[in-house]
Amino acid sequence: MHSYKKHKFLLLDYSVLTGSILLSLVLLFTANHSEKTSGLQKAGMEVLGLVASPVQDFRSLVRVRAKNRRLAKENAELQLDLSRYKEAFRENERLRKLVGFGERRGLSVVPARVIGRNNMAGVKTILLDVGSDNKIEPELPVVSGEGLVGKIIHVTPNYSTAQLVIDRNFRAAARIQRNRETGIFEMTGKDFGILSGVRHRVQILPGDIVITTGMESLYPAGFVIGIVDQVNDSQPGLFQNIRVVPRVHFTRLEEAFVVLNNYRMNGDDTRAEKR
Amino acid sequence: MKQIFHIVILIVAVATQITIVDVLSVKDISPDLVLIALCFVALRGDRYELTALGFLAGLLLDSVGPGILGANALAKSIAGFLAVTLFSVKSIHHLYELLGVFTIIALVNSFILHFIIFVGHQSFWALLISKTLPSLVYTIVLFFIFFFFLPVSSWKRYRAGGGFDSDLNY
Repeated sequence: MHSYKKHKFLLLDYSVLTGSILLSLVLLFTANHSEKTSGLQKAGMEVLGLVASPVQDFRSLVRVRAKNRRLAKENAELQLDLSRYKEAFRENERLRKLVGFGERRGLSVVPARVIGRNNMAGVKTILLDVGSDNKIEPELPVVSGEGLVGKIIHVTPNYSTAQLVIDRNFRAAARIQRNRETGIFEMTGKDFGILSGVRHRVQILPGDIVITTGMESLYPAGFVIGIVDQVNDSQPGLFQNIRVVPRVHFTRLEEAFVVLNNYRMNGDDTRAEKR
Repeated sequence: MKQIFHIVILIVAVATQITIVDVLSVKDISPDLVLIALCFVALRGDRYELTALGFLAGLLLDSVGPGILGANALAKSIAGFLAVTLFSVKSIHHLYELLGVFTIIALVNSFILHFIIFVGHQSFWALLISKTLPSLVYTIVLFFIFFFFLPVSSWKRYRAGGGFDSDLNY
């Protein structure tokens, strides 16, 4: 009797294991780009969002006093800066009119709280508390005050997942702010990325700021991606090996902004109209 | 009732993993809290139950990842199965024995994940040393701290006879 029971449990054990492994493999090999599993992923995000949101609310509440003090100080400093920038803006407007430049349209953004993150080696995403109910769609860029954060990859009615700049699959057209030289920024899977496609004769210095170009119509132009950390000009081939450290402190990121009208910013009005 | 308690523990672990793991992260190295919770449940659960729970917890974790649905589900279901199997092989009287068993489980879990995520990557081995192994060590350290403060009765296991299969659970 005991032996029968033991064998029954053994059969159950190995059946569940085989089933789990097969299902995982099916998901891994067939499902990652299909709509059906996207639904499964969305269901998981909704469940996690429900649990994660109150936890993040509590954490925010704990930090709010210190944050208020810091923001009050920042506000005072920004007020002083603002008066200076207003003067500069008016001067800029006058000069634009003089040289015939049109007015640049502003970005329309949706503020979002970071309520969760996936921090596995190489895979870096965050869970945001805004979704399709807030007009969020896949491929929209996500930014913060420090610079480019990433792009939206999955959306549910109330939540969305953003792939971070530090994810190993992240790529973006980039430009050196100082000399306007362009290249492709991609993460290496480690703590830094590489700016490729910059020729040897171009002088790149450690400390140079790398920004988005806006050319690929995915990310708005002018957002900081990172800072040049090391330049290896001696490697063979046509291009330099430029190491770039991302600017945004992703572990401290609590709020971000999803950019809604990015296509218009880049002058691609046909895509904007389709949307 | 026992199963519901186990499910709640794992859901809390997954929620903790995605919400406050950044507090525990050191230089981008983060521990696998779900694996620790899975092993905690494995000390008192059945093998088929832990395999299924590992799969579901992994699937939940995968749902906030970009395009590798199934990676954590596979690693955690195997880890769950292995955990109950290894915890049942012999009696565990000391924390170092528990730690030894957990190290094997954590190694298997980490290598499966690393292989799935980085297979074909040019820095496969470098990333194993710079990312996966530090994360593994960190998880083992946290596991030790967690169980160090738990009452011994919560993890001590007696096994009467020899053999491999889990008589303890049936």
